Amino acid sequence: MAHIPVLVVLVPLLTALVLPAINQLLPRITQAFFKSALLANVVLAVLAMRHVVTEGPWHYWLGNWEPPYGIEFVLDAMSATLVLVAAGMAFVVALYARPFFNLDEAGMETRTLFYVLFTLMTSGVIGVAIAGDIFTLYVFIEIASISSYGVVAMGGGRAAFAAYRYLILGTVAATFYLIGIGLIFAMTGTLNMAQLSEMLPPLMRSPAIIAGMCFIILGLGTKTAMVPLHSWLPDAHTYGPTPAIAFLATALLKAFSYAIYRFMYQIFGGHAQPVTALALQVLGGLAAAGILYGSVMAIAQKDFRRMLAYSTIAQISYIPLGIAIGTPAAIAGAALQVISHSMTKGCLFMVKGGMHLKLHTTQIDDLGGMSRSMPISSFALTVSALSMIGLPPTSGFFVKWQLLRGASAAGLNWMMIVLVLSGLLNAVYFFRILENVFIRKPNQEAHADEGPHGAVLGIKPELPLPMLAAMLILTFGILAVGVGSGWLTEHVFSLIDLAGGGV
Amino acid sequence: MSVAIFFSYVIFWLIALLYVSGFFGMMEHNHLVKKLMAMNLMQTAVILFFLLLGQKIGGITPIAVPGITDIDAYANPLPQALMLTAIVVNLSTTGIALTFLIVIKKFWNTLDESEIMRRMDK
Repeated sequence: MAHIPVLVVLVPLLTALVLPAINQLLPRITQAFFKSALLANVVLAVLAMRHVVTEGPWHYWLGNWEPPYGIEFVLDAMSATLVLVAAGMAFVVALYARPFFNLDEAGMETRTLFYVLFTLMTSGVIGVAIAGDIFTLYVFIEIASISSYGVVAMGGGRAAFAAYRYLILGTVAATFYLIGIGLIFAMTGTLNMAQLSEMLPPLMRSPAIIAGMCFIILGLGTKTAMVPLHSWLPDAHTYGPTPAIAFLATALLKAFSYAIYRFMYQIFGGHAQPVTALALQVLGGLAAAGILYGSVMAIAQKDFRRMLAYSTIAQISYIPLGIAIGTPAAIAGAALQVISHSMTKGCLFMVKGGMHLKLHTTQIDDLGGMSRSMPISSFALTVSALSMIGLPPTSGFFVKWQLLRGASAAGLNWMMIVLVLSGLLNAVYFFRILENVFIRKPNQEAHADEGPHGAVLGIKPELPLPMLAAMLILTFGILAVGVGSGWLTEHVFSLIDLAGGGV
Repeated sequence: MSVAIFFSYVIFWLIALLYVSGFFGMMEHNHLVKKLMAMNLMQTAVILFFLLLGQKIGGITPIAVPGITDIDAYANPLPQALMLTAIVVNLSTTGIALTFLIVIKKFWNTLDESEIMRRMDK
């Protein structure tokens, strides 16, 4: 029990290390081992969350070395949320991955490698969430990023090129981040976040610290695909293999937005510092631009995959927007978006994978008649589309509601306009999908084929059961989080400590 | 005076030059291998920058020598320890990038970025 903060990182990390050996020695239990390890990790994440809610933030010293000398892991309400989201998404995607790859015609010889990189990515994301010093954060960011380059490249030749561009930009972002760390280290001589937050306030006017902050925001902003640093995202998300993207677009991107939050509030002092407040304003402006740009570009797309990629750019910007507003309601909205968008976009990418397997197309115009051939997927698609648009009782509505409350409390009327406008734009492109799925007649050429899987209880499932189970877990999760968002806000997000930097 | 300050930081300017040349090399070149090389230049510049932070004039190896208790006599070992990790990260990014280049070369039969971009759009 006392070692949960380190176990949530170690369980996926060690799983990734022993998985190739198990695959060689006992190939039959590889899948069972992989899934049970990720399930155990979900249990650990839930226990960690319970500890944070009942007993407050959890500081863990690795090897019992005191913080300035040793490595510190910190679990607070925000990081426990991200840990839970990452562990949960990893498990759901693990359910989905195997039947998907079995049916996928592209067929990969290197599936074990996928599972290895996938678990590594999970441990990287969880590590980002709990890292208590900025260099450990860098190491975990790179663990997550490098394995994500690998899984994106598994989608074939186009994906390899997309992954290469992603790698180049991601590495440049990492060097930006390292320079930022270097400047801060040169000024303060420490890397521990808690110590930095005490030492930085008198230094906030020094050019080195301001330059360091700019470099760090640039680096993390590139990794989290903030406009105008998003150019790697659409190709990577279009060509990468679906299970990988269902995790990459959800938990991985959140990890970098979370790192921005961590820097702005727990290191640079949030709105209490004039320099940081200015940086937060710029961040808010960029986030608003990202929301509008992503939504408009999503409307222009004919391919469902690309549409989802641009919609990710828009939706991910809600988190920096909430961070920039900085009222408790807005921060709660950003935290809720971490949960809500992970489930919603994860579910949409899974539906996309199902379309790809069953209808052999992801072009929006060819989706006619999908509601008849794939009723369960269409149901999942509808619920997640409603959540994207932001209609109650889905979780997306409560994200927008919290952000609107935050923006109005902070007197930022233009942000309220952006939020409402983004809901309308989302409605434009998602209702177009729903129209095609439910109302349009099927095209002659595009016909659904019968799956190779057997009937269960006389009913032939449209997709293998684990895939449907994964989608339905997320679908009901969206509804449950929507209904339970009041409880979450009251009991979990109210514990988020902005270290005096809130509005 | 300002000239003196400029020259006391000249090593940092050289590192900045290395970094920026890597950055522009990456933007300028169409060839994917050249992009990778420029990326490595940037990473090396960052490593040098960190190593300079731990540098002290006349500082010795940071292993305690009996009789020398002055902190300023020893070089700061922390940046060097950090850069060991960063070197490992650089190595793995370079390795994985080279793997991608092999896949790209096999699939597209070229390593020219604008050529591949043109064919991707088709």
